[in-house]
Amino acid sequence: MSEALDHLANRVAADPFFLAFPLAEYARSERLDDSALAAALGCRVEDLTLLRLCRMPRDDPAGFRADTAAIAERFGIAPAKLADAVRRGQGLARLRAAAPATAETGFLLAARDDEPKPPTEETPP
Amino acid sequence: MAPITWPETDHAAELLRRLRADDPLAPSDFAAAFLDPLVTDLCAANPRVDEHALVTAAEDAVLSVIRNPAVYDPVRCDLPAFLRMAARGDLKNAESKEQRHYRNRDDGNPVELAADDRNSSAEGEDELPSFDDPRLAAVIAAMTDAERQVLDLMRAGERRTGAFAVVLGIADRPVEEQRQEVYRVKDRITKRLKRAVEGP
Repeated sequence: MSEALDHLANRVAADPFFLAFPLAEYARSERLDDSALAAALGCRVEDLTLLRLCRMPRDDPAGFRADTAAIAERFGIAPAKLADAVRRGQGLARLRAAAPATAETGFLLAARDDEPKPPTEETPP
Repeated sequence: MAPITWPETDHAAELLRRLRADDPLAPSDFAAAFLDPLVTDLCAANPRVDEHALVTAAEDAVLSVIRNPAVYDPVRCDLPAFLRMAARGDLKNAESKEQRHYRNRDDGNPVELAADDRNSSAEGEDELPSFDDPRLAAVIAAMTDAERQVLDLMRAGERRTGAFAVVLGIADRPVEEQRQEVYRVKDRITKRLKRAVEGP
């Protein structure tokens, strides 16, 4: 693969238009380098550049299935593996984007124990 | 020098049709078909220009068609000619930005907001005093975390809408919506900073 294409694929890793975006999030969370990412997806390392430059699958369920199936078929990947990596990457990206706002408004969720049961009154003998 | 091998006209037309049809593989195939010939062409035509700048300009040109295929009108010229023109435009923008930077430096103005000519530009990117200026410091301190991150990206010369969209938490919205919102936020920030210095 050419240096220019590799460079472009890395450049679009922050662009939600491209498949590179969720794959980068997924790889970052799993601490996967390119070899490990290719192994996780079941594709060749040399296919990662062109895979990354594919469009992000559509959001609607039917569109997502069709797009991931088409991409998976081109690169010899099991569709379920690709779909899983994309969904996880998208979810992680949303969490990361939401985190600053959440911290800003100071939302905290605390677990509450069940209310203690009131002591039963002792019945007089 | 490697020969420039542009795709055949029919193949180019098919790639454009697939981009317009939202084929998920089309962006990848389009980039694979056009990026290398475009880089080679630009390097041959601009031997004194930094290769990194040429590669960036080529990428920008290819990305412009991928993101919005309608930007290319086949009636006006063929696709290689369009991409060459688009890349030259990006090179000129990059040169202008560089000249602005050096002009600001020479004027003793070390900090300026980088112009974003492609994705989302905010008006009023004139020179500003140092960000250590107390007038700006108060405005920056009053910004939200997201606005501060946007400002950091602007100062770093970031141009991609996607990068701004991530810090604003709108990366999952349609691209056009992202672009508009990023523009609004950048414009709001720029105006606030200018008002702090120039007064109401």
